[in-house]
Amino acid sequence: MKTYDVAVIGSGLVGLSTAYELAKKGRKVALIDSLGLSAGASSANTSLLLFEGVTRGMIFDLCVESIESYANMAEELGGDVGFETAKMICYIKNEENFAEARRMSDFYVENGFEYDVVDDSTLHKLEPELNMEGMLGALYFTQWKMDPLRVVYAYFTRAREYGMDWYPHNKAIGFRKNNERILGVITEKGTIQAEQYVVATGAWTRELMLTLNIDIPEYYIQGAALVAERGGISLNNVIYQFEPTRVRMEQRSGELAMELGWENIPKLVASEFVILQDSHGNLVSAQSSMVTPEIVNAVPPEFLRDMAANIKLHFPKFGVCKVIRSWICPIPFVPDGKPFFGFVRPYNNLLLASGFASVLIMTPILGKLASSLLEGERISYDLSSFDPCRFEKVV
Amino acid sequence: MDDATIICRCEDVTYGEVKKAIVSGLLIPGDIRKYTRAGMGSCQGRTCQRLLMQMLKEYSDSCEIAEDTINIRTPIQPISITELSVWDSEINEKE
Repeated sequence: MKTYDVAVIGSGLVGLSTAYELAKKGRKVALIDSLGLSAGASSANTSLLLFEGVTRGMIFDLCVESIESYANMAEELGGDVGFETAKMICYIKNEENFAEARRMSDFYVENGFEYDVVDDSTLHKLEPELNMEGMLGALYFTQWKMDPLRVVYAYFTRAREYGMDWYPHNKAIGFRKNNERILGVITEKGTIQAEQYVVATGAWTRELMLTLNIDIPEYYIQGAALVAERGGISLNNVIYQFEPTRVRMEQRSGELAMELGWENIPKLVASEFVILQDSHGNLVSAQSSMVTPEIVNAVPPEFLRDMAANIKLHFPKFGVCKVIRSWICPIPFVPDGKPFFGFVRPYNNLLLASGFASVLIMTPILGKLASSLLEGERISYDLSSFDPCRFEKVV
Repeated sequence: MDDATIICRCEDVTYGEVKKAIVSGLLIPGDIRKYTRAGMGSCQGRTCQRLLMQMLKEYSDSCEIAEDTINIRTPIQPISITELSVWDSEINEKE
């Protein structure tokens, strides 16, 4: 039987960037996925690379380094990945949020970002079609975006060129192991053996790790979006509402999951508004989202209706645009807001790399860090606060 | 057909681009769609889906082509934002 240097489970951006870095170094890599290429949140997102919610510290530094990698990615991977700056308008509808938004803008200004609080007339100049009714003002600032599908496909094709083997539609259902090492990953189509293993399964992480009797509290919010055909519309900016209902729902569901168990949490629903034009000119709007343990494959009709009504409210002229598709996808989160990144005790050859709230912005650096950890190289960050075993909840 | 033949006319995707994607290991129509954009345009694959399936059979050395299980994508037909914004579940159930 073929033995690999590394078996990477999960073909999302974290798994792909890790597999790519290892294959580039000449390692024999197997990439395994239960579905197709990047079937989770890595390919179903709004393409934005945001520092939002990131406070000063290691995660901030990792994001800065990652943005530099994105800037060099077209050259590194040999193809345009749609990386560019994104002009953001974050509008505010109540006084309480205004105070919070000002604190946020102070933080970003201190850290060298261009950030402005703008009034109605400036807002109108920035985005003429926006219906400003009920808006108190807005934040105007610069972040970044890329084309997630192009990034995924670029990592994938380069890694394949470096000899990576690809096992799609091959669900990992457990591990062969002894007391300190993983000996193989058992899949629906047979066992795959490697010296080292990476679990980068996003929203599916908890399910897989439970087969080792380790309960990793990585849960998910299912976020929906719709896409309208291009033509006849033009947006200058990414527009979203400063109303952190989804973040609050995430916090609440994390607490409920720890208290009642994930399988027993009641269904929660949240609605926010974000709209942008993607790199192909299509209108993308998100997101109605919900928390429920069952993974849903189709967007509930009432979500589609609410998202459409939100577009109509903010941009009456876009009412004639035709919606052509929608998606809903589980987006992972961890109750303490930190990722899982490190070896999983007692297994010294099993690296968990998952649970990144801001995964898009951090992807390139994560692949590099994961490959360095597996190679036993020294890294310049202290990742101990990301320890996968920090919740120490053995079933 | 040669590599320059357009397979998806909405998004201008060629036979050669789709062939390359299949050979690299994309084995379901949903993945070909996401990563080559064939079927991502206004018709959402209603025109090119059969060609893609044919190409999958021809160029994939995998004996099984996995079913596209995750891509249930509403709406079935393009619908304007205005029409969608007034969708009423009760009326729809009665109809």
